[in-house]
Amino acid sequence: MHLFLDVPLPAHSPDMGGLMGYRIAIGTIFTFHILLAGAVSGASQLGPFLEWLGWMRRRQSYERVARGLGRFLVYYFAFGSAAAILAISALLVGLWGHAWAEINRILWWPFYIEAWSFVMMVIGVYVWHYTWDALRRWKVLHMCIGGLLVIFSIVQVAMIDIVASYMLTPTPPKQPIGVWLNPTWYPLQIHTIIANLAYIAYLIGAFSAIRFLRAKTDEERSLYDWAGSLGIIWGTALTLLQPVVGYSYAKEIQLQAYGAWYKMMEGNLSLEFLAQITLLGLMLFAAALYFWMRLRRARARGRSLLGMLSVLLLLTTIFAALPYQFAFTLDQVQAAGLNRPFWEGGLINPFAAMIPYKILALTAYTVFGIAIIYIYLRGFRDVRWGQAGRGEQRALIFLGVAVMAMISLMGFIRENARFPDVIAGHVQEFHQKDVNQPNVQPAGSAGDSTRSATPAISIDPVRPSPSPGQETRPSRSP
Amino acid sequence: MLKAYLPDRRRIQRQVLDWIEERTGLVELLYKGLYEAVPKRGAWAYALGSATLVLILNQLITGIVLTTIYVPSTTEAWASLEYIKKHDEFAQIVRGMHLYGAYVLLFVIGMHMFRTFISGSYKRPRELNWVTGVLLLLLVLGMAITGAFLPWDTAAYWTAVVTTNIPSYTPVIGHAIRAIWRGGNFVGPMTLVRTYGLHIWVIPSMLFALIGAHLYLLRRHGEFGSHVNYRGSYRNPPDVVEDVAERPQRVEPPAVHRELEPPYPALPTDDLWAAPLEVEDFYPSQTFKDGLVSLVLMAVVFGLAISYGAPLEQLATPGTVTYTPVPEWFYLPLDQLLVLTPSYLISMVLWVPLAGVLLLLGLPFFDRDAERNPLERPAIVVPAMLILVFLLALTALGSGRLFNL
Amino acid sequence: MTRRRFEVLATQAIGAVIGCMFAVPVVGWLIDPLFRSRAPQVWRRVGDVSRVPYESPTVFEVSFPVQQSWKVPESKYVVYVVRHRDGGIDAFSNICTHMQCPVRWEPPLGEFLCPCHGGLYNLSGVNVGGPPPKPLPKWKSRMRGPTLYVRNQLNESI
Repeated sequence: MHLFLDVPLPAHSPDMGGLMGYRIAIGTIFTFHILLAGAVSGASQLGPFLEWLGWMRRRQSYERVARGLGRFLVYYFAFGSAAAILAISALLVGLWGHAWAEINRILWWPFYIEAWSFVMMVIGVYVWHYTWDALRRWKVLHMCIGGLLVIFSIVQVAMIDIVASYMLTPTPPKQPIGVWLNPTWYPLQIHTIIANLAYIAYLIGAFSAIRFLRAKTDEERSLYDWAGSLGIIWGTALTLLQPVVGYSYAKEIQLQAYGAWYKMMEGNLSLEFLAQITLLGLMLFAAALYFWMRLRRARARGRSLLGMLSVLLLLTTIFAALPYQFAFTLDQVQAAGLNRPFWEGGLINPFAAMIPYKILALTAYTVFGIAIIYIYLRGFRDVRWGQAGRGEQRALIFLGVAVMAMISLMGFIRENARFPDVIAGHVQEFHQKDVNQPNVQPAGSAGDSTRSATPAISIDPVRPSPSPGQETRPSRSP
Repeated sequence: MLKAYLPDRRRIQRQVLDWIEERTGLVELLYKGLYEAVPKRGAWAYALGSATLVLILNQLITGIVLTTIYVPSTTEAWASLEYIKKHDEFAQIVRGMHLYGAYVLLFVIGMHMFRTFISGSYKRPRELNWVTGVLLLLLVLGMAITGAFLPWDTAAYWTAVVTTNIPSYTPVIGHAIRAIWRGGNFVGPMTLVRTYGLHIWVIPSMLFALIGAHLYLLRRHGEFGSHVNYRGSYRNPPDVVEDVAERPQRVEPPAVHRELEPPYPALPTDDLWAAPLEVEDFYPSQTFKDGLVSLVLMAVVFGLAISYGAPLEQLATPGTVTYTPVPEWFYLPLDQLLVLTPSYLISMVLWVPLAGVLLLLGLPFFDRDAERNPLERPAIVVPAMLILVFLLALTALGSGRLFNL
Repeated sequence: MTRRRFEVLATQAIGAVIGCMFAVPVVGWLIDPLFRSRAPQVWRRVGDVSRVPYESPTVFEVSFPVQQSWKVPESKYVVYVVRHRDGGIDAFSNICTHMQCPVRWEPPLGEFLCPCHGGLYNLSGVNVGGPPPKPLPKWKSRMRGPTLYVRNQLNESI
């Protein structure tokens, strides 16, 4: 593919007037795309796993949830492929043609492999779903088909993550494969796979809550109650991994694309980032409330401890939700010259600094999260399925909505971090830059302009200048 | 007693054995050891323990041989290994077996631990088996990291610098620990000799004492195996569920095929787990499987040693501005933790591993539920899997540096 | 006190005394580096730094003794000479204060980067990013005309 890197592209100047319209159109479509694609990837990875778990544990209910996921996948693919073709042909080629061509030129093979793995995934989904009854007697064979589905799904996510991470941190290739394996691909891949699984698990929870509230029979009620609990356990457990993995991803971005990182953490996107931390805390709080309500209703061991932990989680969330600057961006604060703590009349709140307070809050989320899962699972033998109340279902539905908001917000932050570049340092949306200089961008310089504007908050300009007399104590002649 | 084991030996052989037995008791000990009843199902997974022992023996033998050529001095350590690499093919194979043996050993210990955890074998009365096992894991990790100092090439030097620096974040006594280990404020000749002492005497003596304890405890309580060897699940909760009818039912032979001997004590709390349904002799049924698994692993070690040999980089120098130190793969999670921990919270690099070790050591004491089926004790298995995925994710995140991404 | 009781106490006391005989010299020898350093303090010539470009850290090498007991050959250490526009000259070591990895100057970043764990120091040696808890240490130094000399001692404990 490097053969193509030197081929110049025809100049192409789209109309500047349509910028906002383009952005809204593509933003809307791609938010839907992220929400649907995340659910599809998650479902095609979690579904076969649940089927295997049901077979291991000899439980029909896992099987039913897995079949539900299979049905969802089949329905999705019936219309999703049409939507995808619309998005690609109309939006990417039509409106964003130049950037799309450039991305395809550089990342042809990942796209190619992704397309094929997508085809294999579609085949896998249909075969997996429609042979369920036919292969009743050959369950292991059916689970192998599910396993193939998982593999294709993971390959597909990996390929699209190469594209997504390349667009943010396009580092110069060291070896031919280096264009793909850019430094943030690996963390992003782990982050995405876990996110997709947690997302579909929460969706199972929310869906089960709605079905529970509408259930007519006891049998249905107990099944959907159980499935809601399954969803929230899986969703919460997987979400707990995300702070660590996401922080690793952010660290890589910091090293490779400082400008994007600055925008996320302190610049234009810092409020969105704050909203994300808050949302994460609220989700864990809702999960803790759910667990607490279940154990309280069952009068099971550990319920008062869970109550205390949910209060602690709420307090942590409130603490994590404090904004660092009382303005939209740090740059505004510096422009106004109010770069001091609020008790000195400034607009800075030092108790909300990323280091160490936000990190401590994230650590507390993780520790408390593992604790609530442990306590719930310890007491959950006494829980009787079908006896949940409306409060639990509300928590599940809230979690379903919150996780969708979280995924959209995450996509928004990542995709906007490199604005106005489509590929950071490479291609701008209206390509004022020369695109025919492949990989000219040295690591980290994407944000030079932002960086030089970075003020005294983190980089101390006052150099402790050494005065020669202080430092040299001539004891022995050299 | 002995007659039970030796029903139809030839007379002279029997007389010799009786003579030894009368004076030492060794024969009975040996026969008891060899013909112990062990659980039958899942025996391939139980072979990991023996494989660990074989790999540790590999480390012992190759390590002893290496002391006959290696010189623990900053001026000569690297030169002696360079000599091996260039001129001594057999010693190079020995060194390769020592290195790759350590890698495989750590991996197998992890698998063995995972198997023990999944099958709930750490529960009463086997808590101390687990505790000694955890201590053994820590000692082997200590062996691995002290061993990594010894070649005194660039990789070894920076491993020494970073590793000896980690304890300096202990409150109050941190710098003292570092100075004692290093023999001064900087890494130098004393660091190498002290670490050499740790690697060949201090840690191994504790290691072999604990291996003895581990095996003694194993034989005292008998191999537990896993829950599939027993009559059923401790609890089968009345869920919404019925059996998945299509699952092929495994046929359980009803009877225990031989009289069970005391290694399986009938404790009042866990009658269910007192005796496996099916057992077989340790020798030769289990030892065959043990041997085969060990053979495969040793073949891997031997093959790597012959085809790649142990690497040796340039002689150590502190004055570099181009070298990127990379940790050994088994320290990647800790290293990634070092990357992630900001300066304000730097002592977390000590507290997080310490908390992990305490959790591991305490596992049999807070998980006292009699249930052993991993799928029926989610309260322990789910958080443990979560922590395992954490470790794997940290390893994966840190491994980017191994490939210089 | 019965004879048996005496024997119990005596056994314990004898054990303690023998234990002390083992412990005192061993522990004393082990913790010896806490109380004295056996490396000689030396000054070494770095070189003429008048041609070092402004604000561009430049690598010099010096040899320092590393002996902690008997005498061994000296090792090379790195001195990063930074010449500031105000005339000040800093002689940074390349020892990261986080885990003592060798830091390097990264021109595109305009900062010192520690390749181990991503620590960042600016031109003045201030720790501006990543895990390092303290600024980049400097060698104790002095100027004789245009020539810089450094001593094998850092300006702060790390």
